[in-house]
Amino acid sequence: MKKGLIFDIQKFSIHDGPGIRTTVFLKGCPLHCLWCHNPESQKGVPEIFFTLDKCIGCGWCFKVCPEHCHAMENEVHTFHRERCRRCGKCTEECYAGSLETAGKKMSVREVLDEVLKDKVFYENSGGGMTLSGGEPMHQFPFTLELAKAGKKAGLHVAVETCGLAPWSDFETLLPYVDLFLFDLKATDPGKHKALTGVGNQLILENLKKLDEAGASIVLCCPLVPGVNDDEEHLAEIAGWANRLKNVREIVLHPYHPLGVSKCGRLGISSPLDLKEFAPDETVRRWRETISGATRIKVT
Amino acid sequence: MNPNFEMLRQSVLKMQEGDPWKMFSDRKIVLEQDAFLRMKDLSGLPLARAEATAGILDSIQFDWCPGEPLIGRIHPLPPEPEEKLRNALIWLEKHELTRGPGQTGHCEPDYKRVFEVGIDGILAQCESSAQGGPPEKKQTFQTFQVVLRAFSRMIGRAAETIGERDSVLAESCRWIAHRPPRNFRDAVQLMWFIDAGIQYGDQSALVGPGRIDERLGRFYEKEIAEGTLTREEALDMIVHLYLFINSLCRRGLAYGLMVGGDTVNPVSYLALEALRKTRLVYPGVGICVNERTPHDLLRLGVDIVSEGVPNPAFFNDVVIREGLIRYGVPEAESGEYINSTCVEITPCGASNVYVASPYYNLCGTLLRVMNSEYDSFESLFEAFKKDLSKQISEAAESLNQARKIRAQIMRRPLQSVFTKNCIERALDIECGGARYNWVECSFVGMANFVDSMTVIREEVFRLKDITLSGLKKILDTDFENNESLRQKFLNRYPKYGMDCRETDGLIRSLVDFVVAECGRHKIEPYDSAYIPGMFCWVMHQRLGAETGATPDGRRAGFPFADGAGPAQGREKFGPTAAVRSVCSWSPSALIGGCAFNMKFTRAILSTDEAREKLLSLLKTFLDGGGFQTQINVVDNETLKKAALHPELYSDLVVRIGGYTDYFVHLSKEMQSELIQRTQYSEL
Repeated sequence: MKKGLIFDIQKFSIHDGPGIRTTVFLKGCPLHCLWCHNPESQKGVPEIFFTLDKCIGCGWCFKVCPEHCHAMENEVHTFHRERCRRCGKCTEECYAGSLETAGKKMSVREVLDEVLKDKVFYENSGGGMTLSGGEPMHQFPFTLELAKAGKKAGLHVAVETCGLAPWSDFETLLPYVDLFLFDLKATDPGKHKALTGVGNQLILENLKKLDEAGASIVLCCPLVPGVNDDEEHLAEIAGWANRLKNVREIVLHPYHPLGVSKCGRLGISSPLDLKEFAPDETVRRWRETISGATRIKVT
Repeated sequence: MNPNFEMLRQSVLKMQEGDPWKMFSDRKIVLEQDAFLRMKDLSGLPLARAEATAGILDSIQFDWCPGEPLIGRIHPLPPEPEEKLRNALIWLEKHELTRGPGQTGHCEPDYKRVFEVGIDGILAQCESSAQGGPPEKKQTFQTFQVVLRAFSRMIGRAAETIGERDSVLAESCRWIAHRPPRNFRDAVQLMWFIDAGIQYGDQSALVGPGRIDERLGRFYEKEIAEGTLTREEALDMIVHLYLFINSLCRRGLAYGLMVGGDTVNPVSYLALEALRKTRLVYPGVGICVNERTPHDLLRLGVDIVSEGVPNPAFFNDVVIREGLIRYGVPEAESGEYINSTCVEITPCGASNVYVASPYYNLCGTLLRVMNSEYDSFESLFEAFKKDLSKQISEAAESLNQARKIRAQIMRRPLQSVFTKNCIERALDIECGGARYNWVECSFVGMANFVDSMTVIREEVFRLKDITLSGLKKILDTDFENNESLRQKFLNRYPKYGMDCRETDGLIRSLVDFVVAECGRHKIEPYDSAYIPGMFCWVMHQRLGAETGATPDGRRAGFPFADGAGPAQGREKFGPTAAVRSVCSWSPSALIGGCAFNMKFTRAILSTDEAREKLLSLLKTFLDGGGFQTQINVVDNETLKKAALHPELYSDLVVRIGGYTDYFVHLSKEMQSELIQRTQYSEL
């Protein structure tokens, strides 16, 4: 079995589905959302984080890098990413955590062993495992096997998805998933393409089909002030929740700027240079608008 | 609710800036010298001590203002003239008549008996028991009578202070000065008089209301049924009881109070609710949790901590009872205990337990034995154990000496009267009167020790990258020019709190060893148990300050891990992994107390759902055999602001290692430690 590329396994996740959960973050995503707060999740290969503040100047990375990417220039540690082949040797020697690899190959067994360490917490809280990303459907065979193994081990399995994948994959996965955390990012197809890089036709079709197939659904709505919080989209979030049969909750994900600093550490520029948290007042207004148009719980 | 409460609260905060305790301690030194000068020979010592206690009780005045449902704020004494005080001290030391070494207090007095028979009932028992016995016995009862009469007078004076201004409260005082309490007000008021009397009169520290719900529940339920008391009135009285505690107790200590266990009644809820009203540092309330504890009591506790109040803490009733039974408490009485201040368990109404005696420095011991070379990891561990064993033996010996000296020169007649078996045995608490006479100690820096040993095992003995003496040299320089090595030690090897077998196995060996080693020693009187614990009050900072760098990557002088939890910043995999590490060993033999702090930002606990998840985490910790846990809910921004502008944050309270304090009172190092400590925060 092929290994999966995992960039984080986060325990005590309390905002990714019911109860206390462990969230497995799979690397690689077909979307490129402007506001992406996990920019290290997008590419399907390991990447190097470089945090200059943490560098203690020990010089080990200079010695071990086969491409000589690291150097002291004007007394500052400079990382020549253009030469970097992402071998990760520097990160293995960097105990200060200045250089870190995002993305680790893991087998289904390895991931599951880590997840099962917290089984007692899932049992007592009604929690379980959430597969997130990136886009878990992007590593479909691995995601399928992990969901199967999770179910076999008695776990509640949730999948957080942007919805962009062949319907046949969702259909195959369906029996092994208790809950889909399904993203609704923009209603207008043109706007969806502008904000995420892809259209939303297939995504919305998949949402409808999952609902018809009886899947339990939570609608996850990233909202960015001035970007996708127009009245039409807010109304359509409620509209979708009302039209579908199996939506149990709408969860709003107000914008936060942590992705911006992560971009800097990955050596890429952030497509959205917005450094403010979504104001509480705005979030309250979103919530009220959507709540006013549907009976489904909005959190 | 008393309309003047906020004003009183502010005045108490101001009082705590000084040292209300010292005024009475100083006065007693002078009174003791006077009393000793009057006695013919040493055979009169017990009576002289009792006269000094009575002298203090006679000098206690309580402040009261209209609106207060109870009386109990201590009126400050004028300071003793310095020269007189100094001369008295010198005289007492010269004649070896100081109060002697060792701990005091840390207990719940036996309210049960006085609630049944009243002060006069106990007095009558002392009078009749004094008849016909040997002279020592007669004298002991005489001391009991002297202090009880002064205690009644103290309460009578409180009634005079109130006078016509509140005839109900004044009448209550006049009644309980002699007779058993009739109602809720009488009972709370008498409780406080006993606590204040013992603490100031006998100079026994941190004597408190203990199992408040067990003691007050029946009064509350009867009066509610009869319609003579409302819930709000009862809450107001408990709020004032807390206020009084703060007026008496100087800052930097801890003051225990407990609810739950086998007793859950409306007072359990009020004792928690009162924390919301007072927002003062004392008392540290614990909820005793077992499988019968109602969900709504736990949820109230979680809601209160989520709001940023540093209490309550959650204690494992099952684990603690197991421990008490192990040390000889009958099973039927094993639920009668309190968190005497932080987490040190002492039996209710029957305790002469010395807690926190002493605090052992595990890493200091390790650094000392690292000065030699060893052929294996095991032989290093053996050398460590041998050194620690010697320290434990020496401490046990000095504690036995302390107990002997105290039996000769010290008496605490008022505390004795309110401690089970003293009257039956006709013995002062200092002479073996109390039913339980254990000594509890505590081992500090366990997580740093285990993490250090993990690094040594790998670096020195497995990889052989460095010799032990080479490593010691680097530590002696505090990793000077070796920051990369420090980072390696810190980040390459598994740490306690990350849910990994290597470190969790080491701590089991350490715990087994200290339990067995303490178990080898018997303490005076009656071959009492020497009981280990794993908490630290503020000693992780004090001992850390005097200890050099350690192989886990901790810098010289930096505080050790607090209590039984992972070291600062090393709970990288979040609270579930930390909980699993802490639950990987059995703490039931360590009823000297084990504390485990968890810290969350307020933002993540703002929803009902998140609080239920926190509650589930707590229950899983307790089901898994954890001893005690407490939750700090605060945001880092607040802490940083408070460090910069202490004057604006004088009432910001935090809990560290079973100990509660105002943040602005902490040292700068401790403040930055708190700020640095990992928060399990999510956005």
